[in-house]
Amino acid sequence: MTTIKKLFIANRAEIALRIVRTARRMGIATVVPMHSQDQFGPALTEADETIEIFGTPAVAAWLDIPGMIRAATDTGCDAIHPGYGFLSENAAFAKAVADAGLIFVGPPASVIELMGDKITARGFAVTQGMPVTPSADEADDPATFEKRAFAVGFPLLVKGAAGGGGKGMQIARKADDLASAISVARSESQRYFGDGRLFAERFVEQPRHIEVQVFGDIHGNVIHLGERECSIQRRFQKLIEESPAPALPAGLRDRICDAAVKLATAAKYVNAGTVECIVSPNGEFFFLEMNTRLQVEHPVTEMVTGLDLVELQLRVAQGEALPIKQADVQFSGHAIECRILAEDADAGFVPDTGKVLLLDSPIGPGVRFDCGVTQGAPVTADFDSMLAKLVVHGADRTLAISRMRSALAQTAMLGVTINNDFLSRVLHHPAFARGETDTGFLERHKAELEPAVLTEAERQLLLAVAASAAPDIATTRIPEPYASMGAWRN
Amino acid sequence: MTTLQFSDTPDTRYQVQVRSEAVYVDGTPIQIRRSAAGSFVGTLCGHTERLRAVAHGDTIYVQLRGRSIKVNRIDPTRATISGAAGGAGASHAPMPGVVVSVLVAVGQQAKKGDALLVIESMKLQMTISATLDGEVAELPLAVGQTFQRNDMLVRLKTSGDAA
Amino acid sequence: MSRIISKIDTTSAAYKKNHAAMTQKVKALQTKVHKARFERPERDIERLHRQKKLTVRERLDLLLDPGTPFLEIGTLVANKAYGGDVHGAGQLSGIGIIHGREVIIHADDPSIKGGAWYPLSVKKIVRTLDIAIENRLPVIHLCDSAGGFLPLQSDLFPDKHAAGRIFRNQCTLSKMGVPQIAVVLGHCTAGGAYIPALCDYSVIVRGNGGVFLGGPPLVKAATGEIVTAEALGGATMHTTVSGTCDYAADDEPHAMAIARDIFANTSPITKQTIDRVEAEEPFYDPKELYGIVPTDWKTGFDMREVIARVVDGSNFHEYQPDYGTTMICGYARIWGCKVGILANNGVLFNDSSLKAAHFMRLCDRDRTPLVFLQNITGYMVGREYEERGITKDGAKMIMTQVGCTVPKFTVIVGGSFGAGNYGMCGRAFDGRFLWMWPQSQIAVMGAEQAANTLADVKIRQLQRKGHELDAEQIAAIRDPVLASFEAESDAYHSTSEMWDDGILDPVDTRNTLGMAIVSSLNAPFGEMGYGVLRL
Repeated sequence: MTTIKKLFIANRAEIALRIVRTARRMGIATVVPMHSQDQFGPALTEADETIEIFGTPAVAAWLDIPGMIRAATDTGCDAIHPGYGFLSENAAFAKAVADAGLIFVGPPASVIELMGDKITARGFAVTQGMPVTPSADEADDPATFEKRAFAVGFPLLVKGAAGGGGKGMQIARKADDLASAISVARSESQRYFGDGRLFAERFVEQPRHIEVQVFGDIHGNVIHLGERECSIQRRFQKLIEESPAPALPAGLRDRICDAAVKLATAAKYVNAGTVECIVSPNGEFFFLEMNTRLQVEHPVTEMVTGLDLVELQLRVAQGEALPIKQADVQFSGHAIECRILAEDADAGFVPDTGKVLLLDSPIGPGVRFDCGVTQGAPVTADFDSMLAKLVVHGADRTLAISRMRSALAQTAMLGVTINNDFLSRVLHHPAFARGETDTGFLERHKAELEPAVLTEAERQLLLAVAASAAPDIATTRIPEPYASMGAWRN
Repeated sequence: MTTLQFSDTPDTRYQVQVRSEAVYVDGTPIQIRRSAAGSFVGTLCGHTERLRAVAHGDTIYVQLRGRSIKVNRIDPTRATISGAAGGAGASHAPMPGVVVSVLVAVGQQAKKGDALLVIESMKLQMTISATLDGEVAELPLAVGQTFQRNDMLVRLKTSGDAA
Repeated sequence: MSRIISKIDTTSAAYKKNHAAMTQKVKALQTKVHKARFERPERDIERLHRQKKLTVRERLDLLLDPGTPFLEIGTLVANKAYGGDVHGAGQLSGIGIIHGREVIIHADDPSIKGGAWYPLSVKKIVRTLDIAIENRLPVIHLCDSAGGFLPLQSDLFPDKHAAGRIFRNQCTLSKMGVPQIAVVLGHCTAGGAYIPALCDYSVIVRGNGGVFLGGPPLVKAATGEIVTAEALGGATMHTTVSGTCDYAADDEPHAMAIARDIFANTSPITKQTIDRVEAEEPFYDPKELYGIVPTDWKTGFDMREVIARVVDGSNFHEYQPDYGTTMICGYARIWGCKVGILANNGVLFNDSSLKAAHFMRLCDRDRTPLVFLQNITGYMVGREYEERGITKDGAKMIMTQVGCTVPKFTVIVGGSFGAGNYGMCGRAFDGRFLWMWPQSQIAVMGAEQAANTLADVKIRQLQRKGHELDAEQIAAIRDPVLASFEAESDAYHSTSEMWDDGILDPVDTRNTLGMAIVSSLNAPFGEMGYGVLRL
């Protein structure tokens, strides 16, 4: 067991702050990197130290393995937490961290290698009896890939093997679409992951995305902390996640969670991980992939279990045994998370840039707002468009939905377009309230989710406020007697 | 009076005059009051509503019931509502980004729907297609060049246009 | 000052009779005004819509500050001319507020005969600009006219105060430093083209606006050149090639926004200061005016009761209350402004004439604007009065009145006959504004008196030839004269010819005067000086 004294967080924005808070509670000192294009993150003022990192474009700094390690060692850190995204699932990084004599807060490099790669993970899952969708791997024989993909059948999902987070994925609905789906998926994957290798699998229509939070320690203990449903997605990226999954029969839930634990155990999984599956409308589930890191939506699990997952991560990284057994895990109530993105959802989810001129954080019972920007922060195309996570808990799903609607209305980041109003419309949709959630939800209800046209009274009120808020719009003084005469005509 | 427009309906303009007793919007007096920095109170259908607002240059961001709206201040001596620069045949960038590939050349004929160029932003690729039949008149950007939101990416001219 | 004690009994038969009669008169006025302002042939409105034009009043709504007053001038000009359907002579004029400052508007009304200029239209425009000059009011021209009405060209073109005077006035305003903005919303052809050219700033609407000395048909006839209106004098050409117009607008609302923006950049001037305090409503209800003034001008009434319902707090400081009692003189406030009021309470005698002259001089010296409330049949006649110098005393009153350089405002409340009109600042005497009440009358003498006089002359003529006339024959001579005189003495005739600036609903007198007085302060008062008084 090695107690971490000083933790380097190889990340930024909201997750860096979230990790800093738990570390501070545990008496661990923190260092968060700063970049000339990222000087306004809330973690920068809360961490004990910051250190400047370099790279162009900015994200390259967070993808620079030697750079990250050097920043950690230069500041005297003994551990690195990778957060999510960036290098969190990069086996070479995990290995380099270990080689540098630092603790990597995550699974060992070998486990990342096994489970982080979609193709090897799938293969491993099959050996563990996990159901998987029919597929074709390009690497098996690149020359025949298109033919073999065709043979898998339609609809077909073509995706980058080394990718994740919904990027580099294309759906081919019929044979005619296949060639272009392959070429677009390849070019996107190459650009984003630096790896154009492809994988094709049968696409389950209207699937529900169900994932299981698992946790392992170096002593071989593996538990699950329940499932999350992440079906509300656009462009394969999650927008809304919740736990427990609404309308999932108890038996199916247990089978998925048990299968996830079995898989993680067999993989000798250590630290936090998520087993992602899709559930078809007729109740079949299929292994999708495993994320060998902490996920964006982990707060949802934290709110229904009352646990601090980052604390568990740090304890496990320190070599401790998991402090709880499966039987100890209690689930209470319902939690929902909405991702607040800098995008114009009504214009086709087009990303927006700008500056957070006015920031209003929602507050209230059961409301948790993990915000990655501060007032005055610029929002640029340099970084991911997620600005904050709004997570809400209630004794039941109805209360959670109600609290989320209220919290979304309170949330303001004026100066950049965010999707809170769009999310609010989803939360108000009767189909969402009925739990009819699947990955086709947003597309299916697209017309109903359009914003209401502003009424004339609303427009007038908005314009009146706009004019009053502009400092260079002067108040016109109407002198007497005209002010008293009003609109008199002779 | 100031000319204001909602960002997403630039063809409609409103004349607004701030006076001490009310704000006149196209002649209708609207009663509001400032309750704190960036906060205003008004009424809608008899109900009290709270709004948040902040100005930045010629743009004012207002939020009502969680929905945020962008309002632009227009200088009537400069603005023209007869379309954005370039007219109907011009395509503008929906977001900042970079040109990935250019599929046509100046002088080439294009039909409505033809792919003209491919751009990328925030890892999202988009194909810019011709909005009408015409000849490619301007291709101001080269592959690899970056642009800002609303920059003109390509302009087609129809036979009726001047050069 | 103290409150006038009213002696009016609102329950009396006389009051009720007056009230009913005046109410009728006011209703008739409102009907005529509404018709002149709003009733237009369908096809003219449709044409406006097709051309994407707004009505002249819609244009005004976009131009002026919302929720501010507008004092229209000459609403019923031409109501008795040209067959009666050239409402307002096809012109809208008035004083309005932009960015809190007074402006005067000259607007062609394209829904009346295409906005063509009749002789009375030209008179109205010239009058509008004369007001602008006398009161230093910035002018906004909303140009949209078909041009001069050719059949009547001899009455609108050649004379000193005809169409040329419009452009001469524009030049004078420019020299005085009074801003003028033209908004070209239709065609400005021939002389009309000079309006934007002589303005400090001009805005022109794409598609509809056109400025040219000769329109396409004239050009074709003159040189054979064929050219469209747009190419000859449209927005793009004049704002990019010739520089005749300064700003091109995409549509009329845009044009108004530009005009407002231009006006905001002109510098406000410091107004003439006068004794002015916070305003106060009259103590007595102005609606009681309907019951106080009889519609028959021959029946007398106490003008103090009228004053009490026009001035602030109904407060009045009467000057020489016991001397020259047929002339009421005193100080009051209207919308806070201290004014000197001269009001008739009977025929003018020597003492009332002298009192008026003295009072006017006091007001002029102390820079107090003058308000004349006319109800006058004339100066007293007769040997006694001539020996006492009534003619000299009347002359002194006129000489003094003309010499005053404080602004003068006249309201004809009852009758305005003969020399009485002169002394009490009639139209010829450079008052800033003159209005009439609906039942008021103006003529060199009363209709009956005139008819009797003319009939007398005729009767004696015939008598000398040996003819005796019976009652019927006398009536046959007398009645047409009477009818014609009555028609020409009528307020509506006066306003049709623009001998006045409009007919007021009596209750509007206060606001009208208030707005006029405050607007007049844009011009500094002149140096004092009088001609020689025949003492």
